[in-house]
Amino acid sequence: MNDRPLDPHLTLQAALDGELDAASQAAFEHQLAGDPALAATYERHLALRRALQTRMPRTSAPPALRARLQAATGAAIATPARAQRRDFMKMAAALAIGIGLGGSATYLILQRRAPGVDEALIANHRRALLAGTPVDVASNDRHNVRPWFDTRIAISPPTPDLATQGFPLLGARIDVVNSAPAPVLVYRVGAHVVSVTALPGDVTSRQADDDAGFHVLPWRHAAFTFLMVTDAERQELTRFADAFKAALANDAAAPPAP
Amino acid sequence: MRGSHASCARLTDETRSRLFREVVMPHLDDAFVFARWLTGNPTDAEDVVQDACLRALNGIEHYSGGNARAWLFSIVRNTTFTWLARNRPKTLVLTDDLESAARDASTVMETLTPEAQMIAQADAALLQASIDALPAPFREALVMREFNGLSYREIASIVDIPVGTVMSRLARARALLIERIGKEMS
Repeated sequence: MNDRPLDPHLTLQAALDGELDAASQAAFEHQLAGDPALAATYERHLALRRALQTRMPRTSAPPALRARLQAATGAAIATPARAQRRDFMKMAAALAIGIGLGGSATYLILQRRAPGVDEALIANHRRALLAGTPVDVASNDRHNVRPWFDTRIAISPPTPDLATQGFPLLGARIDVVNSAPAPVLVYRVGAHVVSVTALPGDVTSRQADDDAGFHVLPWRHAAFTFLMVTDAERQELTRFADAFKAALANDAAAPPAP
Repeated sequence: MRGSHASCARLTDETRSRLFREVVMPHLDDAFVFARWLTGNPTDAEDVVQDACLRALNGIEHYSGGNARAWLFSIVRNTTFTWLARNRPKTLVLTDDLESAARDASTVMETLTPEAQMIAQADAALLQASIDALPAPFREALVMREFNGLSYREIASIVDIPVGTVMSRLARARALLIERIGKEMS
């Protein structure tokens, strides 16, 4: 996309859609500053985007359709089939790490720690806090975050806008959970951050765990299990979780989409 | 449910169902939103999505582990076209003759330029009518981007066009919407 200079109107689309890399975005913003006509066009596009996002009714698949498809594929056997696969993947991951470290004792310890996803999530969250920034892509616009996931992994979870409730979106990153890449939304909660990892399907997690000051709160919704991890106070996590659930539930009721 | 061709025999029904639940089901809502915009109403969208999902189930071995949503969208899109050709032959617009229109998107741009503020006032009915009036190739690109949140690369792979064409179709779609809103509201 950056091989040749683009028509400014096409660059404008890419800027609007969060498809420019940082350098091109900066160049475009520079161009905007010096070109009132282009800036006005950009404003119109932003207004259109906002109108489309807020005014258009959102729909989700009819429950009857979902039920028919689940019946057609025998949802009853879903749980054992998934669990089996996860166990195998966990074993494979543990084995790979074990071989990598070359010690059978290490392998046993790692294997024993493998059981919950919680440890992995807390470790990911902690690592993110230690890094320069907890996100791979910084954006407070959820419409940039979803395509960003899409270009990298197959999964793009619903991303509610919670800025008005006091939980601004900081951006997103991709972690590895159960040896598969997983999308993580990052929100600010007071002075802390919450990592929301979205795993497809049902994921068993110990409810609301406390592990050295870290809290994990799972929530199953719309084909995903959202696992919220934070180092903030429990009550703050609960407040955030309530806002997050309400926003997505509203989307579903009022009908949802991106 | 089991297909008749030889490749299907390699997967058991159980594996097929499991793959379906992992690959297709998480994207059911998105598929429905997409089909609803393409067909124009929820009843037809339900038919199309169900049809597409059964196709996906029968052809699950063709899913090669890439972007599951893009894979499902291609199936939904093809199913929609088949469905439209059968049920509403008049609405089907061939995409090729629209390419030239898409190319000069930027030149048509500034004919009518409502204020951003006016666009912000556009109500649901006007937006709906404006989107419905878009030529199909522009509409599908817009819907995938605005209502499904797909990336340019995904749209390009689903429609099988270059990323540059995705961009020009979006530019054209948005220009047409802005133009129409300006016309209707002034």
